[in-house]
Amino acid sequence: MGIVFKTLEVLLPALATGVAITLVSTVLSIILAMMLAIPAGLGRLSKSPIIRSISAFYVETIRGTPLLFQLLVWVFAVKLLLLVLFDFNADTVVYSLLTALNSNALFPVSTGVSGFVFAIIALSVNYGAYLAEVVRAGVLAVDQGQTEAALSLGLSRFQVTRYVVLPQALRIMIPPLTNNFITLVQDTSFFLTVGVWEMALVVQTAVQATSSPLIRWSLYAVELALYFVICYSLATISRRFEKRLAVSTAGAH
Amino acid sequence: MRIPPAIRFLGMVAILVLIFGTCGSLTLGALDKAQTAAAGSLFDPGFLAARVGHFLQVLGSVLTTATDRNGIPLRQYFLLGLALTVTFCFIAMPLGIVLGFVLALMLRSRLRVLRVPARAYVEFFRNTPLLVQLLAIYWGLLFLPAWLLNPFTAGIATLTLNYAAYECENIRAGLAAVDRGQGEAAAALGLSNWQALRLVVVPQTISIVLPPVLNDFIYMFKDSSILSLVTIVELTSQSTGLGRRIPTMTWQFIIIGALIYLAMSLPLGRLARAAEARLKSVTFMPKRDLTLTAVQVLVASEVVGLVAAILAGGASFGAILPHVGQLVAAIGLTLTIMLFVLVLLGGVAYIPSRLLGLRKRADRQDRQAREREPVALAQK
Repeated sequence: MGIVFKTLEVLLPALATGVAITLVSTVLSIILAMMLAIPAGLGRLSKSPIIRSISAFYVETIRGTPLLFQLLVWVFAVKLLLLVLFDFNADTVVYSLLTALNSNALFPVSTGVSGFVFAIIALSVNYGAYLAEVVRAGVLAVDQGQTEAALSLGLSRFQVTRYVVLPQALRIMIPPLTNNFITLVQDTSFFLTVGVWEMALVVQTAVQATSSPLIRWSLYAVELALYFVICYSLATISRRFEKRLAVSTAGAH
Repeated sequence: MRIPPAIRFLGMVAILVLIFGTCGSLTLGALDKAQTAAAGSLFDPGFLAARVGHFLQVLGSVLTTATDRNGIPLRQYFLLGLALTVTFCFIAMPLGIVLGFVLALMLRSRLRVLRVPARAYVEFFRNTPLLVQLLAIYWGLLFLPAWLLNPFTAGIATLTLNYAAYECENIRAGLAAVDRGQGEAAAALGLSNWQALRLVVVPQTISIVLPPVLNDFIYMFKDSSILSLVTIVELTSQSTGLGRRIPTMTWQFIIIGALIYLAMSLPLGRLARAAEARLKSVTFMPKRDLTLTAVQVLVASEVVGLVAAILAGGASFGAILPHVGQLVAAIGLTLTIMLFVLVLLGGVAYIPSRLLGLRKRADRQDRQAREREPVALAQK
């Protein structure tokens, strides 16, 4: 038993970094994915057939292929494409960004960040499509009369969406959005395939360095427990929030 | 204006080929800065058209005649990958549904000894990543003999266990949606619990459960790509791995992989939506015994998976017996892990709360809150 604790103790700093990277990539991906999802979701409801088909194309192609496939395409093919065509190197871009912020000591010289950057992009683009469906369903669930009333009050189409439809849709969207965020946290584990040092890769490396089943199992137990804590607390918060919203809507009448 | 789905799909394919073709033709095939400069500009339409034309030509050859260094036709790799993907989906999904059904029944049970472990199991598998579950099962159980634990059995076990948790939630919701009165009426007619379930409740549940289960099947179709992490070379790792061996054709391989996935998942998605619409309508009145049909479908799916496995492993009669043996080993492994997890997590969730009496207090508070709530709302 002693050796198990010893291994865990040695691994602790790396594991803490891994957890931090998992959380950072989750937050970044959620923000980017929402930025993609709102236009794509609204675009599917647009009047113009061109905008509608562009967003349908995006949503359907992304939802029709696996995340792992997309991740590998972004990291191994698109990265190369951008490098050849535009001399775009994520490492140098991030390094100069950090230099501008006076903090380039943070740059992980040994690993680089280009894998991380493209992995985040892949995850965000993937979840953008799933969240776009949530946005669309949420907007459709808002009563048509609301839009008509707002239009007849003289609001522009943009104002109607911004001030009338989206706030109400957001309330309907919260449960499915949190469900998607929970799976997003889980899907950051895919990053291990492209060498981003998040939780799963840290543990996997440690696992492959030992041959004792006991140590392996305790490492996996720690990892699974960490994921469980993150995801389950998200789920609990969402359930609380849902209940409160339900009460407040009931009280509003 | 409604565009027919087939034409929409073809349009999508055309656009995808064009986008990927442009990307691919620009990245690879001896393109460097000097050559680009000599040919004019990247944004010169003539230059682009020539390169995309070349890309399409190579794409055509990959689909028909091109071979790798060993003389194996390239398209065979994709067929092999597809066969493996199909194998895992069609074998793991029915198993997941059956185990999910068992879990759902456990959740409905009056006995807390059954309810708590099932709830813990479902929460655990839904709140941890599938990928880590796969790695934990494969690497954590490596001490088992190879006939019991190999990539095939570990893959089947992981997908089954994970999807059992999701299907359990679907089936539980479906069972809950069937009116309570139905069960009571069946009991009043003198049917036993089992008969009521088999003849009255389950047939009505199937129509509710089918659309989300079909959706989950599409998810599994995509999720099976993680099996490449335990050295199973299915569709995703075929189409990206080939590119590492023959770099000049990377983008051709990517597009073929993407199109195969789309050709499978888009029609399935339409099927799920159509099933949802049809089953919702009031005119839906099946004459068949739906429970029996469902069981037949599950068994048929298992057979399809087995056939695909045999085809992927080389189509000879000698290959059948080992595959069936592997399937049995996989089912045994799955059940063992499931039992282990149920006991372990059940113990973790059940014993402490029982010792502290927390669960009871929480239950009581919850019930009181629920009883109070309508009154409070009415007073407002």
